[in-house]
Amino acid sequence: MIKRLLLAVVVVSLLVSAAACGTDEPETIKIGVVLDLSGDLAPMGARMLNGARLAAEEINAAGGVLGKDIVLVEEDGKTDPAAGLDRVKKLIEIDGVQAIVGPMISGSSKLAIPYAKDHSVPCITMSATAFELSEMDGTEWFFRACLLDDAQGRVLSEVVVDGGYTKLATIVLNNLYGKGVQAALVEGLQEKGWAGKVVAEVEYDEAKKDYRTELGQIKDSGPDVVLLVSYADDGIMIFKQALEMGLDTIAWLGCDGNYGSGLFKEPRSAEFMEKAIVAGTRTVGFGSTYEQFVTKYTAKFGEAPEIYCDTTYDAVYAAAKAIEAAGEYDGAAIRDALTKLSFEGASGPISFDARGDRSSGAFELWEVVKDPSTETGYKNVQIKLVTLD
Amino acid sequence: MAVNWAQVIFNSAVTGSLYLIGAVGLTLTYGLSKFPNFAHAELITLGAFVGYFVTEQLGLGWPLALLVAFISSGLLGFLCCCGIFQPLARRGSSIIHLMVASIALGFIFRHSIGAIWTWKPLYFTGTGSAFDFGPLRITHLWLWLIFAALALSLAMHLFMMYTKMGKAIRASSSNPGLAQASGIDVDRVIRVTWFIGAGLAAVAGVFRGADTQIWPMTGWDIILPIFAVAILGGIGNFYGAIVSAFIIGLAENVGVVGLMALGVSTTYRIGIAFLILIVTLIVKPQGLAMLFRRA
Repeated sequence: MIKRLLLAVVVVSLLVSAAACGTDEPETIKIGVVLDLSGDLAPMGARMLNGARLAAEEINAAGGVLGKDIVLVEEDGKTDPAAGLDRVKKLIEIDGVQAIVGPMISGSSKLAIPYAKDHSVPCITMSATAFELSEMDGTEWFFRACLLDDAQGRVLSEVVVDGGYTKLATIVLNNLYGKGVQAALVEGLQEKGWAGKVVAEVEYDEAKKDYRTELGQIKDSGPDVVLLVSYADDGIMIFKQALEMGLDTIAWLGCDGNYGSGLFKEPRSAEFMEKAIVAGTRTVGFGSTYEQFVTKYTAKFGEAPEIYCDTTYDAVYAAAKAIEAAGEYDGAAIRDALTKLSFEGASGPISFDARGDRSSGAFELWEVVKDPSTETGYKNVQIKLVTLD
Repeated sequence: MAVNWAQVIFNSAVTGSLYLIGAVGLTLTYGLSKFPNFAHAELITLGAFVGYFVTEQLGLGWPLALLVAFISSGLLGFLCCCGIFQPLARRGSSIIHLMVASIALGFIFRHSIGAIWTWKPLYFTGTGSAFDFGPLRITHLWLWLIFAALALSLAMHLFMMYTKMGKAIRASSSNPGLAQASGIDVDRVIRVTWFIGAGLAAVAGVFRGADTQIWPMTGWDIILPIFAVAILGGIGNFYGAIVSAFIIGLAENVGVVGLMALGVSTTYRIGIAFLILIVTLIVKPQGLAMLFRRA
């Protein structure tokens, strides 16, 4: 008897929830969000989700979109391209969303772009930076609130030209990121009519951790400036061994991957960076909108926003503004509205070019200085803000 | 591109020295116990962490760090031998069983180390400074590493040739049955060898850690070239290992120069050790051992 009763309750509750799914909810506007909340990028994804929630809350407090509240349909891309695509499919087919914020990684985005095009649903990524996504069929359905690796290389090319360097050596990660920044730097130099030449190129394995011979080769090629594109832990090894190999008399260029206090936990790495790095780059938000964002985020979540929280926040705003401008909840209309959109986001002014790439934003050039008040004795400081438009 | 060959050869000696110290234990235990101990990687890692603990966390200096690391890994190797591998072998386990057991042990050790010291990389401080010597750029640590490898070679030579235990190791390795019949306690010889071999792995770990960084995969990062050294040198053959360590070191470093000249990523340097390993197995599975018949 009890079993039957239970069965009945289960059936009824299933029916009720199915009915709830079937019912239209005309009172809200759904925006899909695909962030990697598990897997390698889980800590980053969770903070970014906070940025998205903060934006949604503010938008609703200000009256919502088309007179309705927005609702974020949050999905976990699991730092896995296949899982990311699966979540995009779920959002479009089951939830029927007409605008998606994400996917977070380039791998998922690559799979999601053709699907988004087929179903006429625009995606706005907050952190997929690989250049090749802009060359795919369907890229007109893929917008980016972040700046590309490409832009970073071009900013560095100005440093090389302005510094009067003529012999460039590069040592970069053997992946899309490392090779992308390297190629963009060299292209940027060629466009500027740079008279120097590339004397050595290394693409290294981040797992090897011993780069003596690579660095020796760089030294023997006699460069006056060296680009390093690395992540944190491999960057430490290269800077440490570069100091041992006596490469600190040459000018070095850094990037967003080797920015941050994590690089100073090895004292020789910190010493080398302070002595040798003339400039590194990273994307930054700036201006009053950014400062307000930092204040609100910190007050709400008890910690300062980290990398890409601001672009996630901006991507949700971009989706909401585009829906409002389109005047209807329809993917194609929202896409058209996105192409014409222009607003002041937390990460700087936001507008998109013909390929959906962000056409404006800011990089800072940074260097490393000694600061006895910090735990490691070193810190990053901004040399200059470079805005792109 | 100009190549500073003196530096390349010197780097090869540094790399080769590290591989030699790491490979001695592997090749000797492989020769005696007749299976490759994959947990050898974790004996290297443990040595690196114990060395870190003694120098950085207790602040007690390098000689003591090397000694404590040697004893810790040595004891662990000894315990693995008497507690796991010898009982398994007595019950008639094949090389496959022993290998799988060693892989499992390696996992347990690696993750235990990760649980104790975390998976974040740690760095030794105070590893000495660098200086120029003619065309060479040298650090004190690299000199110590080469010195350690030379001292080890000499000590092992004297040990193997002139001590009773050394002779017993050679006898047990080449013909355990005959050694047993001649009154040698082969099991005891095996246990002593495991202690020494594991201890030396720890020394390699401390040097590798001081030169780069340490994390629970430290040993695993260099286990492939170490296997290549053991196999190229001939399993169980100490003299072969000396020659092959330098060959592998040279191949890797010259390989990096070659890869760069070809415009190929230096990611493939690990492939060089692989290639030597495969070619050795196909062409001369006994490795360089035939050059050292006496041993």
